[in-house]
Amino acid sequence: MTTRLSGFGLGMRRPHYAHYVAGEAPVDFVEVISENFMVAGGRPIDTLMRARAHYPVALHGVSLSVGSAETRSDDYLDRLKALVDRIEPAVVSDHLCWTGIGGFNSHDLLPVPLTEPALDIVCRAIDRAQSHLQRPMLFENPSSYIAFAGTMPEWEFLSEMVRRTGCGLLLDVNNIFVSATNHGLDPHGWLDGLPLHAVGQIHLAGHSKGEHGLIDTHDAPVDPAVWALYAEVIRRTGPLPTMIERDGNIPALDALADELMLARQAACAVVA
Amino acid sequence: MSGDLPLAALQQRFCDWLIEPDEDRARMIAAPMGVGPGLVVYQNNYRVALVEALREIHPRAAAWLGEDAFEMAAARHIDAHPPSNWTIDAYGTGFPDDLRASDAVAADLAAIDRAIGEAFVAADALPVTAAALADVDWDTAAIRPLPSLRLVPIATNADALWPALARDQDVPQATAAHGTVLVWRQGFEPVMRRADPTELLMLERSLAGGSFAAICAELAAQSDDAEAVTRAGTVLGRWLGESLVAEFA
Repeated sequence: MTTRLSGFGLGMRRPHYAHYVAGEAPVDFVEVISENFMVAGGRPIDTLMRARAHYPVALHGVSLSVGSAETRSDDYLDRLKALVDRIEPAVVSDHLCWTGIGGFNSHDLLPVPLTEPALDIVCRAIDRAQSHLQRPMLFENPSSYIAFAGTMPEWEFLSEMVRRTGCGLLLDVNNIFVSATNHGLDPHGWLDGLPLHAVGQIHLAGHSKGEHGLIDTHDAPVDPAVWALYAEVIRRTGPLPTMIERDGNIPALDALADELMLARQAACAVVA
Repeated sequence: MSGDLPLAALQQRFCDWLIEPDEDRARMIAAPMGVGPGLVVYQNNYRVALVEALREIHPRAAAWLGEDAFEMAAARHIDAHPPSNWTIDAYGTGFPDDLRASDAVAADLAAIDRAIGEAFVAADALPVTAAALADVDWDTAAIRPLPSLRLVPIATNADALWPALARDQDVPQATAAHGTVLVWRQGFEPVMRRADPTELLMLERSLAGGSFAAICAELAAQSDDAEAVTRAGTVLGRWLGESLVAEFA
């Protein structure tokens, strides 16, 4: 039975699997990378099913590639559908990005030029995926390190994408901060144009400072400026399902749970 | 599209540059798109992710080679073999072959690493037990091994080195030792051992759909009927004890 997502969660990563399988992790839900479990069998599926017995699961994909000028294969969507049917996740999400073309797959979340023709392509791909999965999806705003000439603002693109497809937004607050900083924009002003009514889940993560700006590395605690931006988001939206992604320098689960407590406190402050 | 460049053309240029980065290509992308120096972040992300994927998929080969040699081998592979599959876990199918020219042990270790990774996520199947033998029609029955079974030809004693590297123990002296390693999964745990010539023939024939009776006849042509049946029966008994058989079809 599919469960609604609520409360506060973490990305379920390998060093902490035993805690999730035992139901000992202090979280309200878990999120996993869909592709890691789109396999035929073995321990990964068993681990996810055991965690699923204790926590609602969000499936978060990295390979749907809705921004590619080429259509994603049915094989990919069939495998994702099989996983969705098996896990009955609370949420299925992916990114506003593309990953490759011409038989090449970069395995990176590449930037979509935010133009009208690209919007048509993205919306067609989202319609196709949602139809295949027979459920609405959430799509995450990306971190971007370049801005294309002659394009619309990201919030405008996302608003139209949501309006045309009925999809929701997975709002990555760190990505807003990274992109706004890299492009010399005010992250709080960025929020003004977003369709915040469509946000179904929030991501928080750490970033690092690179030679050419901020980079979305997921290998550090959430930055204080991102916490401030998160507080502003939920002040506008009310509490939303929120989680921390940590993919590098992964600390003990207790440390992540402590960090997640900051999100709980921010939500409590808004409700109060 | 950006700079009036159609999306497909823009994305193809971007991918060409990821695969083969140079200043001219970067300018070809940057000029029509109006992008800045942040472009290089994508180049770095692309290569770092693939190196880490190759390391994760081939951990014992990486340990054998050492950091510098592994990174050089990975970089060469990435330049020669851009990824195409939707899952990064499938990347590097040709990596063991790429290593063979320079280091046969590393190549064999990588092939075993890869087979173990594939077995780890292969389709589930309950192994049959000796109790199932009573219902088998031996005139027509064919042995179906578990879906996780992989046959890995090797040229060295990498199968002896692999466990030592996995446990961070003293690694035996590397030597030439041609043979085939069987990798499969018992429950959720991948296991491996070297195959003997009789069982290798039996497995190859079984995987090709050959019946047990036909396999016995082929073995009999090498010795005599009674010895062939005994040899085949001994191997089959070992497989049943090792949870290697999925069914008798």
